[in-house]
Amino acid sequence: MILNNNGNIVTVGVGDLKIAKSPKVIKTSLGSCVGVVLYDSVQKIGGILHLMLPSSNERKGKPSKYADTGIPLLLDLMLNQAKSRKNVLTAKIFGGAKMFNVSNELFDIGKTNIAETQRLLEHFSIKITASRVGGTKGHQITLDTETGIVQSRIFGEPAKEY
Amino acid sequence: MQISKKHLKILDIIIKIGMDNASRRFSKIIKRAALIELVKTELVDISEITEKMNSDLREMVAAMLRLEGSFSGKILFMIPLDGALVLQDLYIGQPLGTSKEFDEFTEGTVQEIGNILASSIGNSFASDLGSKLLPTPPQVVCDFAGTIFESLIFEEGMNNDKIFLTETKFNLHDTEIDCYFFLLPDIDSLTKSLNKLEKSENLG
Repeated sequence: MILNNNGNIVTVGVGDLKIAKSPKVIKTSLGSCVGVVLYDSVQKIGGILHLMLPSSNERKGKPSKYADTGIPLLLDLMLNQAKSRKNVLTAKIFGGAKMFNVSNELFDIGKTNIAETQRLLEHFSIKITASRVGGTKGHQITLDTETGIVQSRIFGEPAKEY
Repeated sequence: MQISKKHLKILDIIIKIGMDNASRRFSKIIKRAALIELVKTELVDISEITEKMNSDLREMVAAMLRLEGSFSGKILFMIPLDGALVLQDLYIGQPLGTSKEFDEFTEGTVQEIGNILASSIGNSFASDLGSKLLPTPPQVVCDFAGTIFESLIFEEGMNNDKIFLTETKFNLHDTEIDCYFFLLPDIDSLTKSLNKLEKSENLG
């Protein structure tokens, strides 16, 4: 978790979250994981959570790996570290694809990740202003903290802005 | 997740021998040197390793399979899409530049090379660890580098923040093509195999 990174590009790994301020851009690649983008248009600060699973189920791993612990953590960073006001925060969600995998246990975990993310954001009264979820291919997303625009690229398709 | 320094040292040697064998077999098949640029075996943080992979925006084609037997693990062979076309020409033995578009032959080539590398490393493990290992049929996928890598580490990453990973990078001689080979052993079954090896050596 960092506010600044080398250069203007901040990359988020699996099960991690980062926030950054304009003029930085934050990016990540998603498969069945879901990328939750929170943006404060007043301060031009944004954050991305790259969650793997809907629920921690008392697992001892990093809280940012799970929707039920990661979303509150991202929200906490935006409200308490970045000092954003909750009523200006908006959310955009991406990813949650049904990926190929060598395990049957993980059959369509992406769909469950999307549903839990939507439920939690609603629970915390954060409005989802855009989403591009599902499919069977990976997503690359890049948040421009200056504008709040997220460029979303799905493998084999042209990039779109949200 | 526990692996001793001694076991790590043994494993590092076995993997280096295995990758050396794999690179020779790879070179023989494509009739061009596949030079090992890097072999690294270490315990890595899933967020840090995937952050590195997510910085790579290239589109890749990959073959992923499982090793099953006395110990289990996953193997991933990954090459950029344009590199896969070069690999296809080398594999078929046609002039470079002949293959222009990704098709079922390119997919078949990546599948076959993945299979060859997996068998080679599997044989090495079998002989050095006394373990019987069989590769499952490879699944081929085209996607972003970060997304493919996420699929490799997903299961282990669900329960562990750190994973034990071998990363190998090959360069195809006289080309700009780099390809990547990852081995993700199941740590518990691997530790059992290493303990067994240690005991049999002590008895000997």
